[in-house]
Amino acid sequence: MNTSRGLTLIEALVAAAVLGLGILSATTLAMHSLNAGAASHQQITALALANNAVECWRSGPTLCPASAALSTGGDSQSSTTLSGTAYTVRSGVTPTAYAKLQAIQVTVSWRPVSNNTGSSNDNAMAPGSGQLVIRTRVASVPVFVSSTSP
Amino acid sequence: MITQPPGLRHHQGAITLLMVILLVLLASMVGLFTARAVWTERLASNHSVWHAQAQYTAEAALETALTVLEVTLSDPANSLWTSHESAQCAAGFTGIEWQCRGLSLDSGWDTQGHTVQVRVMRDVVRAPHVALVLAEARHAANHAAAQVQQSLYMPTIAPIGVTHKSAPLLTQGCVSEAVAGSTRFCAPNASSCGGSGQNVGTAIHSLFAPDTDGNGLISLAEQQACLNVSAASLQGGGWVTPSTALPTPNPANCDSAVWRTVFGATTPAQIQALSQAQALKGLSASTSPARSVYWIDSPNEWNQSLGSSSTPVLLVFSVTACASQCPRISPSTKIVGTVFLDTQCQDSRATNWHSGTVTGQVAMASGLPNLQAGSQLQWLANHRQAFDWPWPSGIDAQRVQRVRGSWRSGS
Repeated sequence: MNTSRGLTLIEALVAAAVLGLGILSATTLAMHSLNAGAASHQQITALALANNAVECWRSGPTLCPASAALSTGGDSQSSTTLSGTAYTVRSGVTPTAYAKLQAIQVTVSWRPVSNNTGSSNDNAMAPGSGQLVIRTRVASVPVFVSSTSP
Repeated sequence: MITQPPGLRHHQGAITLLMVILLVLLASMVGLFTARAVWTERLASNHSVWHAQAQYTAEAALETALTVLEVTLSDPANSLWTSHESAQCAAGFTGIEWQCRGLSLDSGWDTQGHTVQVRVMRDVVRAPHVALVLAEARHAANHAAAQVQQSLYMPTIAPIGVTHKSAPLLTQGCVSEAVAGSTRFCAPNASSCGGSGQNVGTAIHSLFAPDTDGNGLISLAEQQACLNVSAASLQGGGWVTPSTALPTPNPANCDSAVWRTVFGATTPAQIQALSQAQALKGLSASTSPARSVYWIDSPNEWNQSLGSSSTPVLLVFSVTACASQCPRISPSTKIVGTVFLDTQCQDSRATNWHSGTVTGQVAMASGLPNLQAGSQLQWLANHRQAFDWPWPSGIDAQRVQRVRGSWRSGS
């Protein structure tokens, strides 16, 4: 009878330890998942902001007053907070070897949720830096508008 | 009070342990699947960024290519279309009519690790003035790729305009035949050529007739003196010259009004380049599509029948071919389309010429003295089809312009 009680106690202790380890692992996994999910959200949000900045620049100062500085070759910077994360969007226009071709660079930076959630071969975003860089170019070759086309 | 069997009471701890282990295993599986789902989302967001990066790089390549083309094509002596690189033809553009080139972009461009390829393609038969520019960016490590394309109008040729004349023979001087009644000039509405049908319209149109009396006007007598063709040969068709005197064409500085009338602002160099491009692609009368433009530098007699009423051709006998006298077209040869003789305002270069049978239009930058017996010229309304490419109205054909609505993207 006494031996049986001792075995039950030991089994209960082992069960508690296993349960504790399981809960610890699950909590760690959950935290990593939450961080990874939040990092993905930040990255997608940053991409959307970068897209907006490029389209703003392409649409010109008439449709997008924020691009006025860019149209004269200057830089533009703005900050916004979305879902608790502060994003800084910097846009800059640089000349190219061709007079009628301009290069634009949009950099979106933010404070990442965790420093170890970035991908190691992610060239668009430095690992853990919370930065997204978009580069493109726009030429001033006109579009011919006519009622007939070949 | 419920009493457990003695055997089961001894295993209460083990059962609890097993239950806990099962619960922990279950929780771990749920956690792992959740983590996997989150990781997949992370990968998806990374790929979204990489794809966007590739897309912007491809767009940058396309814009750079458009600028390079604009600069290149502004030089009339450019060599963009003097060669063909079959490896640069994209899938679906491998037909014999497609001329393809790879385009090199400036090296000082940060492509963010992407490999960039730009290809330019055009149809040398149906639309040699429209190029399809295809730009592709690829990042091997990220497994990301994007492709964008845009069509362009190029100043490789020019619209013909509305200056053309509806006559089977267009000259810049007087016309005569070697033997009266031995040739045929059939007007646009001729019901039969060589027969006795009703003929209405102009059979010969000359942009110049000499003002022999110097009164500033071209009288009927002067017209008749300039046109030495029998009524039988004219097939009832009319004869048109300017009513007022024009400066005599100067062979030393020949201003070919006939060229402008037929080809508009398109230059001889552009027609020659197009002919060379079609030859480069291996196009001939027997290919599909058939070759449509022939620039001829040889002084030898032409004896190849070409063209049909649905696919007329253009033959230009160049200044080189006509250096002493323009090559004759052999009597048994039939040409359907347009024949131009670059006689440089010198009647002597077209003297004693033989046209064979031309259905369409013969034009020359001089008069046509002593046309040989058996020559037959009959009007064909669509004779310009070989070089009347579809331009939108109102376009400035001297510059590179994007074709509206032609931008496409894809991965």
